[in-house]
Amino acid sequence: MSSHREAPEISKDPVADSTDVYAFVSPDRPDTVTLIANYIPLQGPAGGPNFYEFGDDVLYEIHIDNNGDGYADITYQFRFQTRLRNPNTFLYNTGPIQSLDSPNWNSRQFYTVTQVQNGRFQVLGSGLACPPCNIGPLSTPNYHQALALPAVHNLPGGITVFAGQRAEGFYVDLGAVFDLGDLRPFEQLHAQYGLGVFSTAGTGVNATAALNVHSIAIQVPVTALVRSRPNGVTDPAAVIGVWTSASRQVVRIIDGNGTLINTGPFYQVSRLANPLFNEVLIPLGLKDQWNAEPPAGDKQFASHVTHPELAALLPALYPGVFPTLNKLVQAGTARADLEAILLTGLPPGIVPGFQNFTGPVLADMVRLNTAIPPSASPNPLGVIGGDLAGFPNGRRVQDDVVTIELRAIAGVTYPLVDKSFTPDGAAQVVTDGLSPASVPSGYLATFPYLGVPYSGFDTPS
Amino acid sequence: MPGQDYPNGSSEPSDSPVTERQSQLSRRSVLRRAVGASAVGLAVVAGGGTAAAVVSSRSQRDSSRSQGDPATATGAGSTGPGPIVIYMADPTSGEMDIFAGTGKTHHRNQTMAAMVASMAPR
Repeated sequence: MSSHREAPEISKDPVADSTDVYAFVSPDRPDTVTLIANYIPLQGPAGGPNFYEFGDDVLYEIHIDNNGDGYADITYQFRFQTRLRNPNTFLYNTGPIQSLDSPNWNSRQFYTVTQVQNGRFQVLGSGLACPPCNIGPLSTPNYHQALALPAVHNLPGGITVFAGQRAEGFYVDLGAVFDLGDLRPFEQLHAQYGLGVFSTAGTGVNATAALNVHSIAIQVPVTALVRSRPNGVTDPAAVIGVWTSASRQVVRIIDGNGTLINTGPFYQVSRLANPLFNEVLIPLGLKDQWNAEPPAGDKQFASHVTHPELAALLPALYPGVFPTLNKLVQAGTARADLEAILLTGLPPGIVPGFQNFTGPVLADMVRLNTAIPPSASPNPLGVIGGDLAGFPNGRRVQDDVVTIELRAIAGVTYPLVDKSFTPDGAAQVVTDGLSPASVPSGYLATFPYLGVPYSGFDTPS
Repeated sequence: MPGQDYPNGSSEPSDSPVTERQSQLSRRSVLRRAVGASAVGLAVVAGGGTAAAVVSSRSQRDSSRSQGDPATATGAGSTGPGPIVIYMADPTSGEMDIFAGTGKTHHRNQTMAAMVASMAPR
């Protein structure tokens, strides 16, 4: 998936497992940028009685680098606190939850937002209520209006924040991808190991279509994020790099009576910026280490970007379908296109009217040129679809990052660095067969943009 | 690089990011030490008990201040009501890390290490 359960250790720690990062100029408030970090992957909506919550013992952070060194210049920290009204019942709610202060809601969560900048910690808001999980029509009636919208909080400085359950907006055909890459729209072309399972093309299946996540979303004025007011798209000051991290205290003691004691400094256990980076590019033996490192140290992982394993797998799994890519791989050619897209941003002069270059430091960050306005008619294929407001210029909630990255790895972006290169025809159409329409909840037109979570009653499995 | 930049790890609001940064091990080194601990390491927990706070901001500040000279057994100062954890990856070296609140100090004290090692279960 994008980064759901992507590394051995973090797959065992869902509340600290970052799944997706979004960063985009807000379509309805273009003087602001919306940053979203998702955690707690693959939530079955009916997962009670202990419905999903952020970790009270996890330090969640969204980082912004505005000078290209791969370190945070601005960080928003989020700490959560769970409060039980009645510890003597097993129930999450003892009646309908019709407001955020409902006495029927037993297990509530609140949070504090702290901005860290220039070594100063400023608490922007505390005691901020999360919405409950979406349980069903009796427990959480009128979910969007009565529970989700009141959980959107306005903070000083023109900042808006939300933290709570959302419908999963990332779509991917997991069943196909992890079944040895038999992408359903092309499965008849798969080598199939001689098993002859597929004879015709299939249709993509969204494996996340009925699942929820927990989102931390913050909308911030552009001027508060950039190092100086940018003078147009080509101004380097227009570009910010964004990533999220989750940290835990270094020592955990199991006290033997059900109490967990945490002590010591916080160390990073999860990190995420570009989708699929750790998941697809970093090998198993390095994934846990990658999660513990800051983006500034990503030079050590660069060879996995410039020589991606998947680029060699595609010609092997689909014999004769990617001959030009195969030649590129066999020649050992470093993929400077992927390095630029994922680790430095694209410099000016590569794509007309566009740049999101942050300098020579190799760092996995979602790079957003804040001077590019939102698209009136977004193309989910983003920049490779001619829409400069989409991935990899930041990432919007509906962007088809699986198809974009599949095509990029298949060679469709290599002409950016070698104009003599003509990609395989298949590279320009390869996909897992999904689109934003594959997300049943749809998306919201306003903050926090990700759809209303699926309820356990309506989505019991 | 401005002062906000974090080369390693994360800080809480009540900590100085500078002292925090200086004190932090990388997670890899902690994991390496944890692996070693299965063979020769010792971890000692004192105090705290069931009522221990998950985070104590007072102890965070105090323990941050006591960090500095890695070879000197500095006073840990007040650590508040939370637990104190002593971790020795290799008791024979006398090197130990002491955790309290969100802080960590590093010490070398072979006498103490030998004493703790003698009390460890066998």
